[in-house]
Amino acid sequence: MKSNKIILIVVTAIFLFTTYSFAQITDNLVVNGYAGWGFGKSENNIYSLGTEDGKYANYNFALAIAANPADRVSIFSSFDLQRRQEDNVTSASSGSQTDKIVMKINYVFAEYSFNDALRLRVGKVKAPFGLYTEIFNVGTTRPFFTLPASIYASPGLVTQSYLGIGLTGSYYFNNNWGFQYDVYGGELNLERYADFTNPLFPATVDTRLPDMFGARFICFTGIDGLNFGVSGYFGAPEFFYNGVKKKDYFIEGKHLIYDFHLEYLTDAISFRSEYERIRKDEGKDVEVDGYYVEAAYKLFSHWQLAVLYDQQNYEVYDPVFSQLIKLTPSTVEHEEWAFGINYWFTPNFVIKFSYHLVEGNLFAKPKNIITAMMGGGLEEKTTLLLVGTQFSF
Amino acid sequence: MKNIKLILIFCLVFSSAALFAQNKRSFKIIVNKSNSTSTLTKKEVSKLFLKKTTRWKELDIKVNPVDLTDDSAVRIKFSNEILGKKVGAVKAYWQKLIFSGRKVPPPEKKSDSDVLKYVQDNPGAIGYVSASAKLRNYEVKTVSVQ
Repeated sequence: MKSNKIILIVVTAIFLFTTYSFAQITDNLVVNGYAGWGFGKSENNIYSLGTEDGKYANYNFALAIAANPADRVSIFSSFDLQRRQEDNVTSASSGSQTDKIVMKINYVFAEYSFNDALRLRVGKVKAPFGLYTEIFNVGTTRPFFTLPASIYASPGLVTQSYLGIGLTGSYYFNNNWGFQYDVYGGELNLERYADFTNPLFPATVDTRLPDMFGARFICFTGIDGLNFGVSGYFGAPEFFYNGVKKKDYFIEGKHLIYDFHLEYLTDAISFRSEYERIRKDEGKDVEVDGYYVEAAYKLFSHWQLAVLYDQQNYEVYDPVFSQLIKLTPSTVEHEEWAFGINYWFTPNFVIKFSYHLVEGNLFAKPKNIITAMMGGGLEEKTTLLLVGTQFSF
Repeated sequence: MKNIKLILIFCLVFSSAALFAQNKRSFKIIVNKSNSTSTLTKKEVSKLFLKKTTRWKELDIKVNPVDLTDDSAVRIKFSNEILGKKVGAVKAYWQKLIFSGRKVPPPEKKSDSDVLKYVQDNPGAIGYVSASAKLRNYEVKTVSVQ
């Protein structure tokens, strides 16, 4: 109750601050924001923002504040509030889903610009990885309400920001070709996920990569809107199961996580594809690879049709875990087709409708996974209907 | 021979018309009077407004582009002719940069006079106003676009 009051006060303060700031924006201070709300109804399993009863309580709100306190210095910050379903596995006997309002600082960092090709960034910096990590929850930058699960909902793959120091820059040639690069080092805290591999001991898992190193390179081709790139980071992950550091875990040592992407954006066409893989430096413990192809086309200025194919393969080489997985192989499988139709009132305000067909239980899970697993079977096919709106300013 | 003459005349008329059309743009590009730049290519203007180039080389100061609001007919023409994108596509471009913590879009002004005042007050500014806008009361100058 107390936390709800605090959140209410924070939301009110943010709203007032935003309203006030809009009137007060100066050349050196800019406030932007994004928000969204969605209704999801799934069949057979809980998936993404949908439940079998239908779920209205999916919304988020974020502010991004940029300031220029000096000629070559910029400060970027963003924080958000989200109400999303989260896997509640904090006790061994619970596999149910509950709501949680999460407030977090997405990023806050300072940047010093030597020139366009060389800029220094320090703080909690947006992680430059793949196509979407920098715009994770910004719905008005993509055709579907949610991001492709294979990469962006995947256990231990992506993060929104790193803690440390980095260099970035871009250069454009006269023939329209150009590039953008990022190199960075520090610590990564990956997105939290739920591990049901052992149904008797389900856990919420936090993954930390201290002393990691990462890089991204994007090539802008001479064709306007067409770019491709590669990104990756390298480090030894540490796992925290329900807050306790996991010792003698079968996943240890340095891993390389890398991603290739291709993007083509025009007034009418939006095409994106990514392939991502986890590889161990020496030997094998777990191998994950995922990819998606997402295409959308705008009709008559406002209407947009979209389609997505998404797949992830997950291989575990640990003898104990692989035996557990053999009992329920669908828990490491994910394949999805999604079809969407959107109406864009403006580039900053869209209503989205999508229908998803999912096979596998890597991300689609029953309401009570332990009962289902003990009861002898998981429903492998899931459908999801998602309707929502997303906006930004 | 007669055909060649006809083709030559056609080419001359066509190229003159194209040149006339270019000079008769419905907007003009303006910079602060202290800015020594007098000519820019279309690509250079595009890079300045999309913040792909962020500093004036000669002046070593930050480029401060300024836009008209997105419902402005002048902005629509500027966006199509110089940036080669619809205003909506430009907005989408900025959304990605804003929320990835990279750059913020140029400020948007409601009228020509607001743009003129902004460019006058900011030495690094570059803007566009309708071709009919009167500049004589402001410390700004036009830049020709090749």
